[in-house]
Amino acid sequence: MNTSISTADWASAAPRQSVLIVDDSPTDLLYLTRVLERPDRHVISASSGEEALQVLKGFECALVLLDIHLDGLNGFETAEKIRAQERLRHLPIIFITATLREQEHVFRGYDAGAVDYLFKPLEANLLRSKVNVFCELSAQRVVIQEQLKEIQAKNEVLHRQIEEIKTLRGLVPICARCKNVRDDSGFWQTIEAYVCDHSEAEFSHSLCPECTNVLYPGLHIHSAARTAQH
Amino acid sequence: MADPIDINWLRKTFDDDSVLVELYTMYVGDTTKRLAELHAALDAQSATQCSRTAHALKGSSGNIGAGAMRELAARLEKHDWTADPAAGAALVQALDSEFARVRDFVDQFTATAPVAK
Repeated sequence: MNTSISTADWASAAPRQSVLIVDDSPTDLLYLTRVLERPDRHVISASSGEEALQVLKGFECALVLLDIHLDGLNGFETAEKIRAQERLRHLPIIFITATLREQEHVFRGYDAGAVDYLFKPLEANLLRSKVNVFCELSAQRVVIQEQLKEIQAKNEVLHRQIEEIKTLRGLVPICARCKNVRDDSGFWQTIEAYVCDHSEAEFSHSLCPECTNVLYPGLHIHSAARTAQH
Repeated sequence: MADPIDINWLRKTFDDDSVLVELYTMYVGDTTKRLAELHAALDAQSATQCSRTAHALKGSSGNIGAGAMRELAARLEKHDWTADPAAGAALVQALDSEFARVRDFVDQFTATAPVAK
């Protein structure tokens, strides 16, 4: 199995990513959308914390950009509600604010699950770079999860094969006269059939020298072959 | 007197002027509503609501490069209404006047710039 993938391939290997932006200012939502949109990215807008939580029920997002000053649920409360959900526990959140540079607010943001803190007016290139990094990390996570599923499926197949091999290594009753063996279900069958059923081995028809002598006493194929080799 | 909007602020980010038109138009509509909210808060003597609205104005003004609007909104956000209510009302008036300049500027800009796709 080829599990290697170059960094440049991460984005193409992962599906189109979604970034959720939450701000109650239509101007800021439009600005952020225009700054962040790319052909391989879906930028989703929400104008309140409540709307953001609804969106996250239906979309797998790579990242949330969350304004702190929101009517209703504020940014901190929204982040805490996101973090409280098992599926969204590791979803990166970047807080955006036009003020609140004081340390206590920044600390509260990090406590609520922020991975970063940005201040308005937003420097577009810095914002793009940060968002690109988080999107790339998310793409890597998606590819790794797919590979993990593939490995788990292959592991299951291997386990089944090991169980079959164990069956071959167990105690197999064999008839002292006809040499038939009894399988796990209690049926008697030839030893060839049993081995074929429990492994990938196949038998081809041949005759050993002793049997050749018994069946064809005048024929000396094996001794002729040995002589030819010398 | 400097332009009410620094066009280069957004041109640093977007090489297509139609995006600027789209953003300025949105800003004018958005700010018209915010200023109405601000006057309502002033009438209701709600310092908290004035501060919240000023905060929102500060953020959007900064993002589109309306420096003077941003500055006035920042001062209004921090204004101590108990100490000097008249100065607070003057700041709201100053925002109204500055916004009139912004609107004229945007009208002029949109008349000459390409239409948003």
